Amino acid sequence: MNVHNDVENWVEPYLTEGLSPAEREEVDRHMQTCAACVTVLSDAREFARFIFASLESWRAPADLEERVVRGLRREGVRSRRRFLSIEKLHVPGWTRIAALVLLFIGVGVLVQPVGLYSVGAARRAAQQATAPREEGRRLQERSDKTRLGVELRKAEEPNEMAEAEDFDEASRGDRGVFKSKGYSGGIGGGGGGRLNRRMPVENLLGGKEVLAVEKASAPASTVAADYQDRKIVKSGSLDFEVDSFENAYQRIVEIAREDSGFVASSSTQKLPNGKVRGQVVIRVPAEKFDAVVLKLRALGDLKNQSISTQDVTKHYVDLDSRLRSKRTLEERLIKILKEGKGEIKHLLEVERELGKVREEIEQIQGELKYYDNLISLSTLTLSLAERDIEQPFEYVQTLQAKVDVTVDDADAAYAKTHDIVKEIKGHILDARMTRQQDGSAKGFIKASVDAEKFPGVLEDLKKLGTPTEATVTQQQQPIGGKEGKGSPDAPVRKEQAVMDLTLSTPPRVVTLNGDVSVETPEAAGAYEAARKAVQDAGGKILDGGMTHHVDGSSGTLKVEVDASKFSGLVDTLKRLGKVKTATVKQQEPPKGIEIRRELGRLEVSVMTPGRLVQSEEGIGAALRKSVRGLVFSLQMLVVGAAYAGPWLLVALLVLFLIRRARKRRASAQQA
Amino acid sequence: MNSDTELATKARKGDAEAFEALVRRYARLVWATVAGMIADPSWTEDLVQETFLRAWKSVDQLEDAAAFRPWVLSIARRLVFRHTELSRRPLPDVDEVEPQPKSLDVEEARRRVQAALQRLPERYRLPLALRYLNDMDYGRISRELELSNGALRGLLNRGVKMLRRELTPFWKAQEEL
Repeated sequence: MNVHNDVENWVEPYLTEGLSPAEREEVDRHMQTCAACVTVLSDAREFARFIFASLESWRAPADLEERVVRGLRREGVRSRRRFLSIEKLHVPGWTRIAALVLLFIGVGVLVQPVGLYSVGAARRAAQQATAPREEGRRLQERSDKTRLGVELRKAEEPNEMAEAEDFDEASRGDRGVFKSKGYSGGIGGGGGGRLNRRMPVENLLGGKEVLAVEKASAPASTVAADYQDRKIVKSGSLDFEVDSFENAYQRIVEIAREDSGFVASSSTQKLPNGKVRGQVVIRVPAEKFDAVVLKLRALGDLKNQSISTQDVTKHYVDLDSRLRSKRTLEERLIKILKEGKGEIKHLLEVERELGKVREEIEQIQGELKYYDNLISLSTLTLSLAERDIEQPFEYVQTLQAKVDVTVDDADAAYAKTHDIVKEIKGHILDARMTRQQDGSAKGFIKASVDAEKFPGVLEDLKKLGTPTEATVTQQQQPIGGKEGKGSPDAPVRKEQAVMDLTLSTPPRVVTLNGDVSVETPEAAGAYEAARKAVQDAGGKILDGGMTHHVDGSSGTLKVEVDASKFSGLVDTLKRLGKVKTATVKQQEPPKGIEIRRELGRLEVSVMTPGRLVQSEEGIGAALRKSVRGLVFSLQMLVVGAAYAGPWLLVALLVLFLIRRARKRRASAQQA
Repeated sequence: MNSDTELATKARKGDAEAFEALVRRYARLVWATVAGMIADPSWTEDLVQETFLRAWKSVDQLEDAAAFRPWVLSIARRLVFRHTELSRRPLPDVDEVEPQPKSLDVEEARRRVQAALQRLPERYRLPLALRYLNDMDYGRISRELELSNGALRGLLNRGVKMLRRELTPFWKAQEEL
């Protein structure tokens, strides 16, 4: 590499020991003679130092690795076998046994019916997870050997709902109201009556039989007859006609709450005739079901009622036994994994199986929970519809008015109308303004006002200008009552009055035309004065402006003013200076337009004499004119020359060539 | 000496010692990654620890034992994003801060340099972070990042160039003090 030219590229590697020994030598050698590169290097070093210094507080500590490791150890990072989480704690032997015993007891609590499985049954369970029948039979054998047992024989037909024991409700923990019946194999262990909490599952891991069966309190024979409890899902639907949906709803909420229930959902619908109908679904404890239905009857007219009960015991029981056999399987698999014997491949399969089984367990638990919910809380669907309340008979009076008013100023009248309507708390339904070509405007306002206030409003509107039309229509319509019949004395309900107001300005007609020009030494001042005069006369300035020349200034105004003010304004303007012109012409208004606004148009100009002097008179002007003319012709000349130029050149060239040719011919002849 | 892949395989099975060896190996790299992403350096060590803790907890989900490095770095990055969201610490924007050549604020210097670093794309930032924050030399950096000599040279050179471009005005101002 060319050290000097590549200095940018080797500087950083140099500083970080990134150059090969050969490269480094080359660089060192070069720097002995090249001050520039030395400077670059030291500069880079400085920069690096700057960075290092700046980031000092951010550098990793020298013992970072140790610290992290220590921290991890503190957080409990320890070696572990992947599959078993039970052995995470390394505690002395006896606590381990105690922990396991407690574990068994706990498991036993959860899987109570499994209570009497022996080791053998567990092993077989792993192979026959789906054969409850088998289990039942096996259990029967077993049960003969245990101290419990007459009842077991009754559980011979696994899927029959034979009477069986009742399990301690409390022991069910999260199962709520669990009353089991006649299970297949699973229950078998229940045998003689009440099974107590302290029913541990056997020790799957150690092969010891830890059957601490506590004797049932009641003798076996009585159990069978006692419990008719099955898994029942109760639901009902009631249709009511009510006076008020709101009230009925409130009452429903009360009733539900009184009996420890709640409103699960509700939906309402408002019908076109204003009536409300809806549905309310409530859930109440199953045992309160009948009482609640009775209470609900009082809500209104009961049009329809249907109650249904569904016996889901069989399904429930099936689920439960499936659950238990899956649990057994789960334990079995865990055991296999713990032993860890066999090929990795096999163990991995077992693990996968375990995952599947666990998923299935959760699924079944979910279903059971769902059923528990349905069973313990009954569902009541209430449909409520509001009755049609009879309308009393009455007359409805509607007022409609059409008003046209001619006003001077449409905008002002328009605004005033808005105010009037607002003041009496009426509503503007529609409003717009249009402007015509001739400058006149029209306003349309549709408003609704209180029928009582209507006459007053009408008067106010008429006062806006000259009313040209004001028609009021009144209508009375009977409604309500039975078949539209009613007495003439029935009340009259006055509805709002609707008004259609049209505001128009009269067309404008110019009947006067004037022209005033004055001379004044102070044009600007006169201009302002003229403007003010126009404004004072209520006129409008259509156009105008001041122009300033070198030798003076002038101002012009185009004015429109009411005809009545016209002559007054002209007089005022004439007084602004020396009058040069003042003409007024009068025009006949076109026929046929009665109401109109007569206007006059004025052209006003003010100027300073200076300008006037500079009109086309005087020697100076003549001189200037001739100068201008000369300049102009000069300009034309230049332009002409610009155009003629190229042609001239062409002509010259041609001449030149001809001359040359002639010369040549001449010399050729001579030669 | 166990290769990283061997260590990772063992760690996956639950061998804490193997995992610790990996921790030692990658602590600095994670440090450099984290430091390059956050505004407040006091969090760096915590985040590094947390990264490895999470890595341990989920090490059994590591699919490819040979890819431990990118895996643990992605954990680190995710952690930093969450951390940044939670603490809502915006990165300081150098442009908004007027250079104040008169101040000798070291904190200021750190913030600026850090901000300049963090604005670099990661492939430039990481080698520089390893160099400046971890005092690693060329050889170590190229091993950590598994880059060839030529590639690393290019990255370092360009990285420093970019840093200089951003920081020279500030640096020169500091120099004058």
